[in-house]
Amino acid sequence: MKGIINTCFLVDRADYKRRDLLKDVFDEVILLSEIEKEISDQKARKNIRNWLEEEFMKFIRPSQRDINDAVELTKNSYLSTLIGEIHYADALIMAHAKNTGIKNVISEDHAVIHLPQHHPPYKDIVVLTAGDIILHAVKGGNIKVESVDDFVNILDEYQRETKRRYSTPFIQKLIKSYEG
Amino acid sequence: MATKRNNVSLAPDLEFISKDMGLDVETITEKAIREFIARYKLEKIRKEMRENVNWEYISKLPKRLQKGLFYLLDTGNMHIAADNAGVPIDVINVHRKKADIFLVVEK
Repeated sequence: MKGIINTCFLVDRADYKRRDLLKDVFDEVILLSEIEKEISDQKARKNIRNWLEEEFMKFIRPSQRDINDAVELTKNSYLSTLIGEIHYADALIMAHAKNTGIKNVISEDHAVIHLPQHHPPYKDIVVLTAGDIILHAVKGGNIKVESVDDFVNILDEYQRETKRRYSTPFIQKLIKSYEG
Repeated sequence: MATKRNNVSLAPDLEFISKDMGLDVETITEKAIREFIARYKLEKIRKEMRENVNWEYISKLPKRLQKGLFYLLDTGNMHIAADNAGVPIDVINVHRKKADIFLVVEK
């Protein structure tokens, strides 16, 4: 599986003890040059360097078409009303996913998560949060889990370490997928 | 009774918008419901993020960083919050964590 990664994810990942989880789920992760520029944290940069050396991560410059689409997305006031302001870097990731046909985007940004629901040109993009990736890893047997409680504990651990909080309906969705 | 009265008062507006936009009433209604749900979700995120925030820590930060964190609390958007604070995204993330701002992820 191939996925395009965004900044928030990389930055938080540096503090998360299961940061290599991505490798269990993805064969290759794309990092856009605009995203790389935003990261100054040494731990996160070291992480990126390692992944690039291991050829798990690929560094790509966005095309002119990606740039044009991203600019258009950030200017779309109807979307902003629905999902909040979209940052250029996030828009660029979505535009690149749409234009290259890479279906998976790894992000926990509200605007990115909700864009496919509200903007038909982006409807085929699947946005994966850390919760989804943990679920994939558990289902694929990369993380050993005995019960629902174990699974919930792993989700709690991520939320605690990265200071993120998953909404109750989202956690319920993840548990349902785990059980199913 | 009140609902019935409201429906009656909405009808002329709906008819006008329908003609003006060239969309049927069902499409407009669906759009309105979508907007309502999206706004509700954003509002809920906003409320949850304000729980247990370390306001004392925020008050000691420079004004620009405070502005960035306030934007983050309003929208949950770390990218634009970092732009507003004039710092890289990982720097605002460090202050977010120190200020006990939990980013709410809703899917």
